Amino acid sequence: PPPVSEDSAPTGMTFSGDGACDFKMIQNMWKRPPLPAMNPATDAIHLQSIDIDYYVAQAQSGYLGAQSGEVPVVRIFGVTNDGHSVAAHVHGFSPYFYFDTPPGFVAAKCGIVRKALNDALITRASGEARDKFLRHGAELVLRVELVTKRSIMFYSDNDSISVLKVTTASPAHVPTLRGILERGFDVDGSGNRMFQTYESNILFALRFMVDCQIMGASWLTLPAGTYKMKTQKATRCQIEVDIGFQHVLAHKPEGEWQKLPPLRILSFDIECAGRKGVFPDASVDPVIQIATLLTIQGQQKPLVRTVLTLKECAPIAGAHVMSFDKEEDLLRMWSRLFGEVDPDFVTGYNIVNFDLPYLLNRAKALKVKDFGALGRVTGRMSVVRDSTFSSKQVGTRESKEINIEGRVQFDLLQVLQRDYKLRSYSLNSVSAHFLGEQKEDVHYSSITDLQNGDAQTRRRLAVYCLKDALLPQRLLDKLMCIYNYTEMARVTGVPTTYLLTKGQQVKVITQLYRKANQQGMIIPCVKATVTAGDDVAYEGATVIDPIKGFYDVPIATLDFASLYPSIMMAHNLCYSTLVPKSSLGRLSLPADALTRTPSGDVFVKPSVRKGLLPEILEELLGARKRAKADLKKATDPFEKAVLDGRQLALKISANSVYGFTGATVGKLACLEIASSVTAFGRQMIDQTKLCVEQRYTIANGYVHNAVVVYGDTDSVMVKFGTTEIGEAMNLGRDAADFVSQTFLKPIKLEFEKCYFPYLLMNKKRYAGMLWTNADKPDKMDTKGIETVRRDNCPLVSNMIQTCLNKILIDRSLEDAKQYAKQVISDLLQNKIDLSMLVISKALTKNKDAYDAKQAHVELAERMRKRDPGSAPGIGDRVAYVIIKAGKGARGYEKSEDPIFVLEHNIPIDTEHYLEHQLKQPLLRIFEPIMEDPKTLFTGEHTRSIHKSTPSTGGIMKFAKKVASCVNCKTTISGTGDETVLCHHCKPLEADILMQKLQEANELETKFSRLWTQCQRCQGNLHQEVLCAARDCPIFYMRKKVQKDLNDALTVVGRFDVDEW
Amino acid sequence: MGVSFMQALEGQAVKKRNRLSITSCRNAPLTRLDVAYKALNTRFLNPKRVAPTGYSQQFFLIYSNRLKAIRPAAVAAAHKKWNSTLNQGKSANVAIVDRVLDARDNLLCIAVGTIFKQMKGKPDVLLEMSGGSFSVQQEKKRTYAGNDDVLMLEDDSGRVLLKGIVDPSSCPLITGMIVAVLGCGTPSGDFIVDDFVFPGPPPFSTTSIPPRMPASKSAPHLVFVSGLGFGHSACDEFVTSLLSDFLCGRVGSSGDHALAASVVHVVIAGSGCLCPPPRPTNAPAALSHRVRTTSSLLQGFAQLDEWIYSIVSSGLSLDLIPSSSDPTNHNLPNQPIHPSFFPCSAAIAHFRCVTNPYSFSLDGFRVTGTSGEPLQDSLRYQLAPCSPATMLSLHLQAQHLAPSAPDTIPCCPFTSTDPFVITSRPRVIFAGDCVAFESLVVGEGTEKTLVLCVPQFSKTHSAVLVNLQELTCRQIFFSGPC
Repeated sequence: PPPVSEDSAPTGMTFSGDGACDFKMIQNMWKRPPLPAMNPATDAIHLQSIDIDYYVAQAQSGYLGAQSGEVPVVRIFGVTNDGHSVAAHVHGFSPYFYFDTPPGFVAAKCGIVRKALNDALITRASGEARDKFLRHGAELVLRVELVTKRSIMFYSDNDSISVLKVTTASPAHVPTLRGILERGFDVDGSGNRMFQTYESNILFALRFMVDCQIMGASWLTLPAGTYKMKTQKATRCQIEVDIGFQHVLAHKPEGEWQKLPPLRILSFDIECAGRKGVFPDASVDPVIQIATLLTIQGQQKPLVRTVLTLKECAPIAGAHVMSFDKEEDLLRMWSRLFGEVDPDFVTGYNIVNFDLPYLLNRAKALKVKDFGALGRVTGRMSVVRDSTFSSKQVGTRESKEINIEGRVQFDLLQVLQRDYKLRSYSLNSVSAHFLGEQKEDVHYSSITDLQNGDAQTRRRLAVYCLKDALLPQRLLDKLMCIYNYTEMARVTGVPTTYLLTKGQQVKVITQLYRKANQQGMIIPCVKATVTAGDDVAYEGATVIDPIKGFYDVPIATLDFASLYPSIMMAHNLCYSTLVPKSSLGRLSLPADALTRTPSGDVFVKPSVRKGLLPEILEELLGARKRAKADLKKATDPFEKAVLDGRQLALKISANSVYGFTGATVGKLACLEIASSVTAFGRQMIDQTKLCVEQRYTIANGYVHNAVVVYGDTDSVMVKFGTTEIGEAMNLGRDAADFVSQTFLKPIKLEFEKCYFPYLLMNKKRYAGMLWTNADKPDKMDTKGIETVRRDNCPLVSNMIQTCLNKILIDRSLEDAKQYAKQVISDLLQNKIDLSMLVISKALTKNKDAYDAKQAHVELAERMRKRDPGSAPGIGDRVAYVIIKAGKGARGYEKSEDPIFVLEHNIPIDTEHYLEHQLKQPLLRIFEPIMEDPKTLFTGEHTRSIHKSTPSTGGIMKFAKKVASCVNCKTTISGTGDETVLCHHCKPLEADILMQKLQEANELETKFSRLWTQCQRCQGNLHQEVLCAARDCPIFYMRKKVQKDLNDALTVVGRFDVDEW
Repeated sequence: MGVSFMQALEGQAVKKRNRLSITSCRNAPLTRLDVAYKALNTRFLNPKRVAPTGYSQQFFLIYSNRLKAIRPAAVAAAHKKWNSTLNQGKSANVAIVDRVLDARDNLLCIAVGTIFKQMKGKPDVLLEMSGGSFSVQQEKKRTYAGNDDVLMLEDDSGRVLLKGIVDPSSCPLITGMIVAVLGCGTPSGDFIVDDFVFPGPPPFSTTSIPPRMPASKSAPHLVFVSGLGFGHSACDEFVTSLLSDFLCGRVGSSGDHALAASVVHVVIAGSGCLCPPPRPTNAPAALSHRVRTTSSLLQGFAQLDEWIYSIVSSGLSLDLIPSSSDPTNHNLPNQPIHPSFFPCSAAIAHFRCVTNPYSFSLDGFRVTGTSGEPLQDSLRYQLAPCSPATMLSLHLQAQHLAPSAPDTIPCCPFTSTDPFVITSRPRVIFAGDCVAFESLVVGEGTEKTLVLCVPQFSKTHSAVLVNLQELTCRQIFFSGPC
């Protein structure tokens, strides 16, 4: 292709944007504000860091660290308050770690050790690398020093140990040396031995951040006169400097340094034209549209909205449309735009696993050179790699990994999956959930049709594509993602990207490193001794057996505030305070200096030595208290968002410390701490129960005997016996204060809420009206009720919700019973809307990859046989209903496509729904409140059953159609007088017709309301509704009403007479 | 029969009430005027009720067909209004853009399209569904409008936001109307409106000549009545029978008799009977083929049948227009009520159960109207209450009988045409079931159309008498013994 000049539009592109706008202008709109002249001698640079990584380069003179050979250079990407992008190359920081000294070691031997380690590295290197090492003077281990430190592990009376600190030229040498030392090595000629290493497994970028006290997403200052402008740029940032690491100044996120710079967020979505029945494949199917939005953080509306289309497309209000004849040009232009926008955050929905890999693979297939230049480093191409991410919190996920240096890939799907538990994560249901809007959903088989149409149909697709690019941005704003993640990075001290790509542990370990660093402690590198799945069990939290029932009196709830963190603080539980049982005798500490935990472990009291974890927790919770206080005072919405994000981050961080100590596959598991924490927790719950039940008794002058009806982990539910909500609250407060006194500080029992009435179904399963003030209830609160489980059909959650409303709000058990019976009766009579019965499951892999046969997989296969075009592909959710099948049919054979069921009148297996969906949840609710809840499922209301007659297959092949009376179904002659009704029913003609009309009219209204709603939802009256959003609550309804209405009108039509 | 009174009012202007005394019927027999009646409602008739394509269709084709049908008139109106005046002193005409989206260059232009009024107050299925289910029977609010409504103009190409002089809360534009707007489109997709124009009433068709002068002294009259409400407690049978007696010349003075004799046709514009509210559907399971309809509605129809019979048997022709409360289909156009509801009258040829909307001609004098629901629905688009007659005249200006169908008033998903487009201008356009009688005249001289809001009889005890020759109307009241 002809070379494309940077300023001109490529050939073959047509542009339709604002009338007064040309391609050049748009390009300028995309770009960052131009950089004014800068003087490094007088201008300091203030930047908020976006990402911090490092690369290896030849050592430059004038910095600390190795003077020759390859050295690591830390790269800080950031943004100034004026919106200019910065890349700072930080030189002179060298990696290091520690290891135990061999016995009888003296400082003079350091040189010998250095040489031994250096030689070991060289001998172990392979040919090419060894040549390189030797060429550069072979200075791989820079220094070995004898230092005095303290290990974080265990309390011991001699305060310090001697360790050797090894400083290397490159971070890559650290793990190699660790391996050498751990396996056994002769460091000083005293013989081969194995060594314990310390801090040898921390990521280099984090090591740098910890040592320079740089927190994630924090503000940094490069003071005037300390940096040099880079003449030969290596990145696409506007400002690029070299600086020594000792000059970088980090700011605490306080005052003016808690602001956010005008971050540039690029949100995009792609459409590709797939073939019928096949999930789009990047090597075959073209990318036809890419919608891209640029939003400046803190602004209401996107700055620029652009859609790139393949083939001509009609203009779209408020957006620039660029059309291309060739797909290669389209991709090239997008990559160019991406670079010009220079985004700090890249967002979208499922971009990491779909959009980005697809684009990159497509560009590869079409041989579009330089498409992958998406990162900020010049010459580095983004590539797709497969990765598995596994964490205890989210389980194992296969995913893609793409390198885009210097930018945060903020895939909203991943964020939501991490932070929220939802019924479905489709963009449609997510936007319905958070934004209260249904989203038009065009099935990918119709996308190809729209693309093959004309400029108008492609415009329609482009509008849809733009909407899909906008929704993630809106969700991002609505959920305060940028604020929350920035604050989390600032609180835990890791770069924002780590929060998205790494598990929970890195957050805790980084804080531990920072704290240990301050106190001259070092953290041993311990291998995870237990493999995943082979969990060493320790006893978890306790649950006081619930006294099941329906309580029509206020139930006060006493909660331990931040239970686990406060236990760790109160009892000084930490790695550094743990006294190993083996050394207990040797240490001879007085008994009052020790805490023996209920699990039998021993820790020293704070008076002997204060633990690191308690200190970290104190800081976190103290900071949270301050943030909450500031939040109350704050008036500026931006400040509020920041503070709220912070207090949330602090809370999550404080709570994750306990989990870290208990994570057996973790970096520094310490089950003594974890099991002590839970043991204390159990003890406290029991103690609370005892205290309350002993104190609040008639014998002690109270009106009633208090009963603890339930307790779980960190809360206790007390029935004080009073029917007065205000009195219950007073007693609750009193009890909280009283019981708190019996615990060590800062453990505190708090009274926050009452439930009234309260339905206690089982462990971790209850519902009640929640009161925080005595005037009126705040809301209904439920725990463990089937509303989010996805393998339930909507009928279940609807029904449970309504039953609870009737029981708790209307306070009518009778109504609830009646309602439940009514629903059961409707179900048996086939009166329930089909959409209420739809169950959905994601098709995650090929049929053959599933071990056992599963309903949704089998159905997908059957649907593919019927029509490969509309069948669900891998990655789609398969929606199905359970249908009646022959005797002995397997469960997985009874699934069917709801649309197919509607079209062919296939009978629903109502018993299945009754038995497997409704029964258990209903029994759970009604068991505490009625004598024999099984009667809900038997009796009068279950005797009338309606089954639809299938219009296809089976017996219908042998059926013969005859005319029958519309009213009584008697066979009629079909001629003369007897065309509609038999002669018995004829006198009632008006009456019967009226009834039939009434049925038809209801359907007519339904039809009109549903289809006009869809027309409105798609934002257009003149074009056909294409939406196939199966998550939408009216999707099946509108399909069903079409059919039912045609049927009903056919019946009514039979009455019509010609001459009238 | 006791004492009865018949009062007549000339139009709205005269508020004087003349008390007429009863005279015996011994005068020479009067002959009714005879006019040629022609039904013009084939486009509303759907003999098998199910559209050829059935209900598998969607609604968008109605809108495109509507725009196709009315656009030329809107273009013409725009040229007439702006290009004739703007030309004085200016050289070029203001261009009419082909598609509304083409208006985005900040240049003055004219765009033609369909109005869409976005209102949060419209009944919203998705909103109701978030509560678990939605009701088919919705409560009719006084208005859908609110302060954050938005007006848009759209065609096949897309939508633009209307700003400028059109204030959504006060301007009479409602969803589904086709209008031409003058103004500038902005790059961000807004259209700053300087002025707008309706297509205006369509031309009279060639056959639509004023009725010929009959060979009698009195002019031919047409009687409209609406909301008789048989079967409902509000129906006063005595007063209702006075109306039929008057129409048959059985009561009143000789003047009344003469007047009655000049009545050439009667139109019942909706709500002949009023259904009791339908039973809740979750009643015990149907024991299949037993008929359970309560007879109260059927009783109402029996009375209506009898009442109609008493009129049509006297030779007067009568049209019964159904409304959605009648036993007919719910979606516009409502089909004629089934003959089985009228065992007596059904046999008489000049009683016709017709469609809603309905058009007919009397000696080429075209009359078009509805039983009133489209008008009521249009009124719900206004924040401040608006005169029904004015709104009805806007329907005529917009050349459409039910602009808000299908958005907020149900109609069949027509695919090849929009039957509710007013293609030729009627002499009388009417809407039934109005709270009060109201009328106005659109046009001048021979180009006049009478706009008529027919009041509910059961509430006002009045009918409307239209003088076909003068194109004037008046409300006639009936009342029982004081």
